[in-house]
Amino acid sequence: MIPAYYEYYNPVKILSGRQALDNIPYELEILGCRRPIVITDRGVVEAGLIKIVLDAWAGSNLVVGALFDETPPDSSNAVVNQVAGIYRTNNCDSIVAIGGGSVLDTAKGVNIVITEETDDLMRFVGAERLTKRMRPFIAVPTTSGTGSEVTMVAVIANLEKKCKMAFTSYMLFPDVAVLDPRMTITVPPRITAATGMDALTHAIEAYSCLQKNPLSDAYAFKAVDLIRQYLIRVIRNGKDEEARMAMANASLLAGCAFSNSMVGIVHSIGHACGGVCSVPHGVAMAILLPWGMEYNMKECAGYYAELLLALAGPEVYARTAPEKRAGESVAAIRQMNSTLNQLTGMPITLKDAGVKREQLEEIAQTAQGDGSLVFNREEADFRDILGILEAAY
Amino acid sequence: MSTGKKYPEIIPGQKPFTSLVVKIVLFILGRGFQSIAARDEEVKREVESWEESFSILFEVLPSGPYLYLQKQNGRLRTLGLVRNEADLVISFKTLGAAFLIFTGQMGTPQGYAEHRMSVQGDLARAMSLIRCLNLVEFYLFPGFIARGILKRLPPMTMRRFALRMHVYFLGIPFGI
Repeated sequence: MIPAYYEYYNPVKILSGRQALDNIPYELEILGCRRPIVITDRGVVEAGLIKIVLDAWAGSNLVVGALFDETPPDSSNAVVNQVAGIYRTNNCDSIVAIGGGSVLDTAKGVNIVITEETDDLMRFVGAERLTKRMRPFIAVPTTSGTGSEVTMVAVIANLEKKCKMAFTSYMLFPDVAVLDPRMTITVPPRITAATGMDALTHAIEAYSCLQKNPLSDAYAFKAVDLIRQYLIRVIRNGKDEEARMAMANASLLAGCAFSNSMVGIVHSIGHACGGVCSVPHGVAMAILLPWGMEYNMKECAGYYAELLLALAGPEVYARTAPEKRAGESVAAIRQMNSTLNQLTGMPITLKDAGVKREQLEEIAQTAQGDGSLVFNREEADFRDILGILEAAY
Repeated sequence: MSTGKKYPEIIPGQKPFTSLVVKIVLFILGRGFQSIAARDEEVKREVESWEESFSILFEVLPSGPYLYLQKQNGRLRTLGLVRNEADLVISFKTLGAAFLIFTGQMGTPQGYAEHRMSVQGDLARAMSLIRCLNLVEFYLFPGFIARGILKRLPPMTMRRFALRMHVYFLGIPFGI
């Protein structure tokens, strides 16, 4: 069914595959730039990935204006302002971010600060408030989960006000997203599992939330199909380059999908689990996804039934009676979680993830304030969210 | 080679009827919200969580109408169809979008999902406002309209019915 009205926008140029990194100097040249700041974190440096990047850029006219490798696991306004200062001092003309979600969000925050000539990000908090064209920005993800390289969202902590600032704007899209197999080949199995489930949740929620549309559906469906085929395979053999690229593409596709059709209750609760109990995002997604789907079943059964084809393959889809397909989709996800738990030790209950029962009410309260709850098809109040948390505990 | 043909500029017309309807509904929304916030327990609880002087602006781009609300002395007050700096700004991109939502043809979540409005300010507060608006719409609209725009209809109780009557006959006309 075509929605009565929708908007879809994704201007990111995507480079994917062998030697994709080598094209970055060329892409920056097209954008009129040669002196990027490279934003990353210590983990990426220690994994040897920055050396690979610099080697890939050898022989070009590019000069790295500055390398900032101290991005913390949670991006904050203090870090953003610090990096923006380095950008200005070193006369950089563009941004290249190499890392996971925090690095990419930090880069987006830096771009806001530089472009708007401000040090007060709070002025731009909210949805669709940025109006100026940002500095050229290239995103190189080193995990296959957040999809941040193709989204218009950034979440940055405000340390003074002790809150998370969410920015949603078409201006935050990177100019280019670069998927290079060398960037994800070293990701450990447990992180691969968690980030893979993050991507799966993006795709499933994008396929079933209020803002779904035919374009985001196409991306989401393909993402789910790739994850079904390649997630377990890449966990078993991390050096499988084809599987790594497939997962990188799945994460990007899921990012394209949810950036335009948003996410729902699983992310609302998952964000709160991360904020209150520091549960890693991908782990929270894996644990909460089947319970969130069961909660939404009355409104979303049709969509979950369609997704069984991608989640379990054509044979299972064909032999499952139509009225049972939605339930089978949830079962397929539970099976995936179970396999990932056996292979990597990824938790599949909130208790195993370190959440204390007495924290559940605080999580439910926090989840109510998450913007993604608006897009969930089913209404959910404090009691409903607490019910999901109890079930997932 | 000039053909002598002229190409004058064209200024699209206005929508006076739509604008008037939106102004009336915003007035009703402001008075209704003020009244409900003082009496409905759930809305009261949400407003209590807001800091004193917290302000909300509903605006229709590019140049109105507007509705400005502010928490004063612990209560939510409607300050009229005026534009002011606000902590939370809900901007409707077009008059048509505001008309759809304020006349109950489209719910707030659906309007937001269709990018018909933008939000400036803390999203947690925006979520609190949406929870309030769901209840305000429940009180202001008759059931057959509310059913189409709310994800879940709260159960109608005698207390809620009495509050609805209070809002219709005292809250909106007299600002009580």
